[in-house]
Amino acid sequence: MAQSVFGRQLNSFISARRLKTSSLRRGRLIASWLFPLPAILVVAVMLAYPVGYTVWLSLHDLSPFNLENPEWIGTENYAALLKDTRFHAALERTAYFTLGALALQVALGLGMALLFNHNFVGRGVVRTLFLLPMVATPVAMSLIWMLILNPVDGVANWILETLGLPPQLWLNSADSVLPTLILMDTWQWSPLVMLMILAGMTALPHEPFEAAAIDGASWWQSFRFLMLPMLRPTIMVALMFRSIDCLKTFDIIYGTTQGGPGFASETLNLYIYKTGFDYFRLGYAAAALVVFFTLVLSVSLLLIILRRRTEAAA
Amino acid sequence: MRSQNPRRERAVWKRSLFYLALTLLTLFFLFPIIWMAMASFKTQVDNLATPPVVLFEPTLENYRETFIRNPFPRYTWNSFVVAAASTAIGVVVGAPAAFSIARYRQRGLAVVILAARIMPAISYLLPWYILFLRLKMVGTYESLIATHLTVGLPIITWMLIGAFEELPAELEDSTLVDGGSILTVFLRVALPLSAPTIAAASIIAFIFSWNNFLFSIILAGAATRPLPVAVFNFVSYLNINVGGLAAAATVITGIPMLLALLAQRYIVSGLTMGAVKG
Amino acid sequence: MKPRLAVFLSVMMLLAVMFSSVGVSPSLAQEGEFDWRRYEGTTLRVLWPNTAWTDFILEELPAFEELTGIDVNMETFVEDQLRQKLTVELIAGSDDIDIFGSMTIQEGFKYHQAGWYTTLDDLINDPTLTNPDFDFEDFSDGAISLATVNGDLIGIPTYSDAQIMIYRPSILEAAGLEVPTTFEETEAVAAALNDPDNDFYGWINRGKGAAATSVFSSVLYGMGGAWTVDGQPAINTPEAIAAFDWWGRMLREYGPPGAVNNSWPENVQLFTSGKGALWTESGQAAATILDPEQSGVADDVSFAVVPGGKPYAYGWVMSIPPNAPNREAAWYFIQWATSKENSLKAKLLGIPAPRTSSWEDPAFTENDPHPDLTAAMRESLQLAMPYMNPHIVNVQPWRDVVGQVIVDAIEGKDIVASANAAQAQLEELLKQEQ
Repeated sequence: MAQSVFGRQLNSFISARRLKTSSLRRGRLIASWLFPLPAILVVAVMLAYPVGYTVWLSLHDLSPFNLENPEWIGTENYAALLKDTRFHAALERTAYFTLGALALQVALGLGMALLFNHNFVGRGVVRTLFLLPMVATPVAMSLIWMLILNPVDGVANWILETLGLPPQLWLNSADSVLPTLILMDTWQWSPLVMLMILAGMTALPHEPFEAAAIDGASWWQSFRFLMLPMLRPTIMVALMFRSIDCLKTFDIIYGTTQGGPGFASETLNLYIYKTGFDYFRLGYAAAALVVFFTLVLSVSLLLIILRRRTEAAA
Repeated sequence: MRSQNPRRERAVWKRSLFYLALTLLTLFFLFPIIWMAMASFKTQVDNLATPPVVLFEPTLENYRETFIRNPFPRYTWNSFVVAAASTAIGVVVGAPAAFSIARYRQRGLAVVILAARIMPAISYLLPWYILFLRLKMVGTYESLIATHLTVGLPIITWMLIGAFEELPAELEDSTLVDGGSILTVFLRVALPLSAPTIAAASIIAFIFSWNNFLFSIILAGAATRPLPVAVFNFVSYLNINVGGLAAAATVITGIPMLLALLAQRYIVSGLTMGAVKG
Repeated sequence: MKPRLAVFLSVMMLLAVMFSSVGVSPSLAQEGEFDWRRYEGTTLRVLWPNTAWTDFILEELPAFEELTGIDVNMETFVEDQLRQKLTVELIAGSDDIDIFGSMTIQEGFKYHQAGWYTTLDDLINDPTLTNPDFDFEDFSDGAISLATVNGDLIGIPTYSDAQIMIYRPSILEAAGLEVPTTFEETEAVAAALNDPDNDFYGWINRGKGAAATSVFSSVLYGMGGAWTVDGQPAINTPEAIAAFDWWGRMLREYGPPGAVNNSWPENVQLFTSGKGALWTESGQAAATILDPEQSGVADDVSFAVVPGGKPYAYGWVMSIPPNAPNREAAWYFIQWATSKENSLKAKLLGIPAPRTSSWEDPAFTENDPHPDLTAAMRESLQLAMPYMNPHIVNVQPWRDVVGQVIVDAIEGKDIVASANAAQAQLEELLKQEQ
């Protein structure tokens, strides 16, 4: 972890390091512009333009019927968002899903990393198999989950009943749909959290643990007071990646419930999708989008700052 | 002698608990995949049976149904075209950028490209959609490839920044001293030495383009429809054919899974933009 | 070299023959006879939904291509994706769609307002373009109303459907029960037959939010309610509350667990695998349920008018957009697809015909494999009303909002509170529309 490229990039960006002097200044100047030029163009056209356009659009009334001459309405869309109960409920659901998924995935990821930190027969094979959920096409897996979790004849309820547990409605109830989606997301992504934390664990120095063992520290003590604090930066990185992606979750929700039952799993992403591409209220969707990406960017920024703090403290 | 028994007993207990936990976890993470693969070889009758049938006579009928009676080969080809083209462009555009970022420490650019990974995809989709609508490009391969590029480019760029930074500076310097240009350094030294990372980054970019659903569901047309959208339609259409659906899902997910095995050492690194070395 | 030359020569000859035949063919048409080959060589692009009728017409398509020499590219989509696709292409001013499908009861007002329809009167009244056998008067009034928006005839209906009740006669008989006609009777029958321990449910129906609103309309109107009153939403009236309450209770007490996610595919699955006793759906469902390849109950199913006697009417209509590249050739395809002959053929498969002649043709009446279906369908079509959706422009958000009330009702939540909240959202929606 100490040599994470990511950390280095970020740190040196914020605390601008002195440039290395080179013998070929002129060539460097040309190259430093020419090499990244295509990427800069792609970023400008595919990223900067859309974001700017979205902000501009959010101040207009635009529907398919006035595509050529959108009407300037100032902050009216934003004012409407403040009153839009469906939007508020979507915000709450997004927070619920993200926090629930994060908690579960970090807890499970940490626990599994502790297991995998031991040597056992077939460790390499099992580790490799754990890569599969994160690359399995999410939409295809959603459809498979729907079959497995079907409350009438799904195999999940059959397993529960065999174990003497009560059957569940899973995705088919407003009360259990979000927890079930969290479970699906956890299936897909906690192996990644596990592998991230495991990489962090492997990089930890041995001495402190050996010293603690000599001092008679219990397993729990050395985990709680040594390992966990030393792993904190790693866990922060995992939290960062997972929170960004959880806020944006789309495929598994659209693939299973499309935001249902009713609006019970309609997160921000789903609501914006519907407003934009089903209702074709493009200006309004743009305003909701601005709120959405401000939220995602603030969360990432917050986590970056927190991470720098923990690294500084460590 | 006797006093040793409880400790040994505890060790045995611990060991069994350890393996039990491991087995349960492995079952949880593999169950949906195994269930899917099994369902794809079962008849509809076996698939609907309760309790579930574990031993059955495998049939290829579901694959026949999906890939011969439905235009799934066409959709597979569409997915391949879009993923391959967007990945290839991603490497052509991303590699020089990564080289420049690594060599000239262009942090700002690195962070802007990272922003592409952070921003919700739907915030590009809406403007692009309007743009493509006006250009009459909705439903074309070009629109899909362009949008999928934003999936692959950040992955490729950030993985390659890491690779280029690890190259020994002396190698590059000696090339320059021998009269080579910076372009020579890039083409003759940096690229060949980073070939494994480039290959891994390409595989990961390909996987995530292959898996993409959001861009495709809005921008794909009947002729360019890729697999994830096709399989989603497959369900909504008339009867749910469990085996047919499972066969389609097995093929769709099987390809990224096989690819992931090829690049397994790099997957974690790729998914975390190089933040973690797998 | 020699084989290559031979190939070249034969290709040239082939081309020559082809060109000459193009020049000759119009004169082949005899005086007074309708010239089907007038638009030979044209290619039509058709955007159309996946329906049972679609499967039928795709099978027949080669006959049209042979008859006319017109190629037809039929791109078919799931309903919602068709809507999205069409909206995108028509907004963009797409000039390569010759024919598209729409359900006027769903999107008619929107498309009409946007100017995406053309009226077909000029084509129908042109004897050089319309086969005299077409006989427009043969379409039933109900069918024509499905193709009429604000008084304009904007297309030709491919089928004319109404909601019906589907039931399992052997199971009702075994329990000594009559086919129910009122809401009370329906509930009593569903309660008597419901056997969840054996995965058998008294009542199968849609609970999936927006998708459930159309089938729910028969209960709303059957209980004396309406979508709108005086142009305002009427979702929280006592009649509407009673309807939501009944719909919710039926699915909660006598329906499969988790019915809130059930729509057409889930219900077909349940019913054809013998897990349900009563079900209301579009009449077209009969084609699937009676097909032994797709259905395990094909030999034990019958049909009746929906409880309350207020089924909805709907149908997919073929229209030609204003900038269709081949308007006349498109009309050739439409009149062929909806001809007496094809209407009858589809009817024999269980697809409700828009033409009166198909129902009365001896080929049908004497060989009708399902007279019970015919009787139920004919009566339902008589009773059917165009109120599957409110007559507004933004049907989609309306359905989503009402769908939430349906879900709440099924899950036993506070219906009045839910309906009041929906009413407020719908008032806001209609205000925006003005």
